[in-house]
Amino acid sequence: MKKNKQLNLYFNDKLIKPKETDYQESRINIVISVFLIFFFIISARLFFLGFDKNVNIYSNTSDKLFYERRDIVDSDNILLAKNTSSYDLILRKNKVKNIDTVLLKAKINFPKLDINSVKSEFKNKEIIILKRNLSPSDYNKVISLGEPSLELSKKEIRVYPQKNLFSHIIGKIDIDNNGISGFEMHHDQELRDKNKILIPIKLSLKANIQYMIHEELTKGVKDFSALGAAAILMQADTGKIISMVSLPDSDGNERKNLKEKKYLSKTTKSLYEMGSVFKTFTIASAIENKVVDKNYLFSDLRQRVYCGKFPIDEYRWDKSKKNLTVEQILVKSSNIGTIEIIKKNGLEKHQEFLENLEIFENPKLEVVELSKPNKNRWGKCNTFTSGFGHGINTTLLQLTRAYASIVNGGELPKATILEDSKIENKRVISQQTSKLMNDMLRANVDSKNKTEGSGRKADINGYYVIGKTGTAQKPSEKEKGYSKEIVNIFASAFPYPKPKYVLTILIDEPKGAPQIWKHSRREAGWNAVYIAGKIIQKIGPSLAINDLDLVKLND
Amino acid sequence: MFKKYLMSFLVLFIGLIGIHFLKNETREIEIRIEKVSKNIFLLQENFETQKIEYSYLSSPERISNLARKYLSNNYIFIIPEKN
Repeated sequence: MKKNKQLNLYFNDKLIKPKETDYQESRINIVISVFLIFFFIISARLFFLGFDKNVNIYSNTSDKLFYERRDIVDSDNILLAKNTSSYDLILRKNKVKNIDTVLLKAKINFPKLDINSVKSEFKNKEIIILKRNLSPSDYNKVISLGEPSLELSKKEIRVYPQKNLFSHIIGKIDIDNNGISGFEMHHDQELRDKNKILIPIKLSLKANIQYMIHEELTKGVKDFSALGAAAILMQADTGKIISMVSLPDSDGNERKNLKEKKYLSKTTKSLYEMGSVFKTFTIASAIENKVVDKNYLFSDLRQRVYCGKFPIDEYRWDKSKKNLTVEQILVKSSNIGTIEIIKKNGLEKHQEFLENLEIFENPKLEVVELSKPNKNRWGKCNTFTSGFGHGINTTLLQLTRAYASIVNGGELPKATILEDSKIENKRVISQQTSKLMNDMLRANVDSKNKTEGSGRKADINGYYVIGKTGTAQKPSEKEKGYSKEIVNIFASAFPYPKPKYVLTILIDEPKGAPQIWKHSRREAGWNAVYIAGKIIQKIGPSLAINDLDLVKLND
Repeated sequence: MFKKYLMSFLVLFIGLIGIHFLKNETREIEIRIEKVSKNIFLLQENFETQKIEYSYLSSPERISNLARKYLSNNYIFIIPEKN
């Protein structure tokens, strides 16, 4: 501070005033500055908030309805498998005030709940699952209970609305949505393809046909006290499978551990000796090689022939089986006649023909349950017995496919269950041979034929069925050789003369049915053929709806 | 100079108020969109569940049981073969 040198009473207040103004101004400036700083900060914040795209406090449900697996539908767009949301009922320990009250409430609404096991779990676990996969009514019950400790946990499950009907084909998934069997496993990647998640996979199967065959086959298993049965219905020219049933089966919605052998797929996994059905292939090979025609006569056929020291017997030999034409060999199912045909055709040509039909190769289909037939080295004896389907085995699928090639004009189709699958056919016999084979196979089923064929019980009015039966003994599980149990097969097609559908039936260990026939014979003609007839009678009208050829034949 | 600043502040302030209203409107619309999206989601979920329900209701097994129960046995007849 400057020293004031003034001696009079005049005060120079100008010297003091500026000092006071500076002080006040600086205070005001500080206040304004602080205010402006705050103003700018808030303004800047508001300004940036206005352009902030990420602020979206309401977007708590950005869920879109995308499941982890694609739907599977049949050729009529009927659902076979679908993912959906489901809820589990859970009990949260830290929210429980009185466990007895909570459990009492739960027990009233879910009477099957085991209170004791829940109480024992309650001691060790924080979260206890009381009920899995609640139904909509169960869901509503839990909501109306209003108990804070009872919570609903949302999850994704796969539902098979057709239950048992396609369980052997579609297969199952595990709890992590991975396919573990059937089509679900074979097409796992395609079913999980996120780019196509909304597009269902369409199969060539038909739910209504599958149901009808399943129903008749179930009835057949019961009527003939059989261990199981199987059936395949295939489009003869394309190889597309319309129906494929294997019994016994199980509901795909239930989580069962199916370890028993009887649940194996009898269409693609189990291997069987097919019996006399193979005579069709033997004859087709000989006709194709032009060594016989259908009227070629084999005379002086014996009751028994020997291959080395092994005897081969004629089945139910009588004098009428002494002189037989090729057609009669097929209709009367003569084993000795078939061996004579193989001799005439040549063993190697016969072997080559069977291999050309891909009977001994790995079966190909869009499922994982497939077995490769056991093929021994070709010897003289097993070449002879292969002529009537003994000593060699294959799957019903491969038999069906080979049969399709015989009746469809001579082309071996690729078997598939996919609706959009590319058709890949391979010619194995000429159209002329196929036509001759169809004539002979019709003679085996035609009930007006004087030589009563084994397939006559499947001669359903209007459908002109053709086919061949086979009865084979099952190999013994305990010792070398064969058991007394049999497998019966009927490989059929319809409508003659240009069959469009191939139907093969397999009955595993059938017994006689005196309640139907008044006797206890158990060959294929008395069970597999009978069931095939019932099936054709039932599915025929449904197939005819979309098939003008079938309708024309009935006019 | 002061007027210049004042004008700038005014413009900025009016702009900020405009943004505020715009933001509010957007927020309202977003809430509405969210509600509609929620509804769409629920409807879709319901629709998917109904698909399963429909396939169960129209399953051949169920139709067959109903036909057995409510239809007479002669509702299908076979035309005899003409020869």
